[in-house]
Amino acid sequence: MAEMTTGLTTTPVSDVMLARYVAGDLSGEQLARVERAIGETPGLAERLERMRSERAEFLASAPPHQFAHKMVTRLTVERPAQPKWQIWWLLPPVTVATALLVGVVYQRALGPQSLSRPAVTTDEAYQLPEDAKPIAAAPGADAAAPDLRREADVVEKPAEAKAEARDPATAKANTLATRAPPKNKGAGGGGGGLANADADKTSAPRREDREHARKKDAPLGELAADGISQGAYGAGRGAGEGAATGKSGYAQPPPAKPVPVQPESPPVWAAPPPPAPQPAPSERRSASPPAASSTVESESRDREANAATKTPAQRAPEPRPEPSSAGPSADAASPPPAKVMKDEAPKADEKGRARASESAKAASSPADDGGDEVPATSVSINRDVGGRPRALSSGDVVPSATLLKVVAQGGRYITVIGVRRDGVPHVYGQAESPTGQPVTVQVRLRPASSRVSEALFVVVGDAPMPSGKAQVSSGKDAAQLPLRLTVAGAQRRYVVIMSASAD
Amino acid sequence: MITEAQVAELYTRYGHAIFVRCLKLVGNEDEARDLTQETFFQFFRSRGRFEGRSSPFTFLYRIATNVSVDRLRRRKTAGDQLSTSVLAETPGSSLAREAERKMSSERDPATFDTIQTLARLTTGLDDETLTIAVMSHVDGLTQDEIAEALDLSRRTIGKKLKRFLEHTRERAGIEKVEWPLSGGAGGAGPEDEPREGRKAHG
Repeated sequence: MAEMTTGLTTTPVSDVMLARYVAGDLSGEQLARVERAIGETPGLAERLERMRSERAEFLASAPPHQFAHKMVTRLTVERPAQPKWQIWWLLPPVTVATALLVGVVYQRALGPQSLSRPAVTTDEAYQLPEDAKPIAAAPGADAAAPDLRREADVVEKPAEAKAEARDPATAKANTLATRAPPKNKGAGGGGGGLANADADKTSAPRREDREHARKKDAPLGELAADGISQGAYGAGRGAGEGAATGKSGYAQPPPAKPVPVQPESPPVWAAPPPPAPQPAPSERRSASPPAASSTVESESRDREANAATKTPAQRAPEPRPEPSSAGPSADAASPPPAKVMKDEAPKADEKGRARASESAKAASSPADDGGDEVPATSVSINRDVGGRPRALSSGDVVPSATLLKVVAQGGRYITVIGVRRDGVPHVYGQAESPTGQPVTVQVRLRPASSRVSEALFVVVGDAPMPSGKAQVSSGKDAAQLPLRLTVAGAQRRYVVIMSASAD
Repeated sequence: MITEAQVAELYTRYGHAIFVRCLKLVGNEDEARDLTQETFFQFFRSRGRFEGRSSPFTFLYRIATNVSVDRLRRRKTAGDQLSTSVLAETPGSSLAREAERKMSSERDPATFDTIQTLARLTTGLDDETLTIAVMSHVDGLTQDEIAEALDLSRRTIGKKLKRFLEHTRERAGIEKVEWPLSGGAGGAGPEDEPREGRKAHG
């Protein structure tokens, strides 16, 4: 035993190997080597014999069955303690998850205003004349319209919209309003084509515009009309911006009605506009900007002339626009409206501005024109923050997967279109309002996993938006400015609100 | 669930070898028996790590070395220095008396100091490295013998001893001990390079 414990290191076989040999733990080459060493080394056999006797003595003094009983009892009683690492390894993922959760909650609680980067900054309201002719309408486009309803949760909530309209504060904050003229006989050039006004404007120039309008004691609608006259299809804020820069507008801007906005209401787009005087047709015509496409312009003027001879009640229902023979490919072949707009939009000058003011005054009074009652076009986009609706302004950025309520009025069909970062439009939803009452279209922006930015457009028209007939005419990236949406369809009048962008 | 038959079988085969290992390191029969039980207890409790990849003996041997050295560390902490007088006063069987005799006659104080110092310097080392270090510097085995006994490659033994040396240098500064000690297990301290061949010892 002693020899074994101290080791006979001169022997070729160590004590450990000898112990393994006694325990029957060796096999193969190791076993053969030990057995060979035992046979060759005289003292090793004796040592081995002694080790075996000690082993027998040890097992006799501590019987295996007793040892086993104690061991099993101890193993049963003493459960293995939880190693610390089994607890601490949970700490990093839990910390990360908590941080993410806090971030999401914080972001949602603060709302869109907390997100500084507006993916799209542009004007929010444009309108086309009732007689605007679409550039192209694909065959069977209308047939595809019902499919749009599947893409969004469309809820008609006239009462809610009315209640919101009754609340001045909410209306001020939430409503992006334009007023459609009772009889818009402007040139229908670029019918169906909608464009944003100058998109690289921020709110600062808009404020300057409003200040300028107040100083001049003139309704901003005049400026809006001015902007329209200079080629901008803007109404409200967008029109004011267009007036200030003269760069905005669309290729074939019709003499759209100005947007009458109370001068004292701080956000131009927030307050529901009062009735605006209807400009005389001649004035509107004179205020219209130079046409970018003579073909479209002549067609529009024909329509205008035709419509001017009739009262709204006398006018026959507007026929659905015939699809272009070229179809969607023709749309694609058409020059980008944005480019046309940039190149041919005239500069604002004082003379035109004055004419536009007169036009705006005239257009704001439908009765003067003997026009019918066309409901004001208003659009508001709200997101639910903590159970309270929060208005979205153009250029706001909201997190993806945010549920938005788009309340719109003024047309029979309300369509919400999102434009992804890759420039592909996506119709979120569409609602029909046969009675002209406000409708609500609930849309949920794409989830964050899609990692795309989306600019949101709201199109108010008198016909359903044909599927696939909306296209981005400039800027394939929603974050790139300007971004313009061209809608080719049968609508006679459009109001496009470009607003929230999901990031 | 472990059955008594399984425990009894394993104990019958390896119990004595483990007891001898513990006795050599701690020098006390009662403690050695206690450590033997602790070794088997840890073996069954952590048998998931064993997974049958090696012989149960090598796994038990590592555990036995670790628990024995750990006991020595705690002794040092408690100021309970092992001495031959303590061994002499320990009542026990003939086995203990035999151990006492061998300890007093063959085991010089330097060896004991080596084990004690090694126990202090190996704090924080893993079981395998500790076992290899003890086998090398206390048992005086060569790298080849260690590799054969533990079913490891010679290269692994070299790496582990190198790791042990690095750890020892670091701990020596903390523990403020002088290393290598003179004498001891063949006079081989951690500063010495692992011996390639067997040297006469004893």
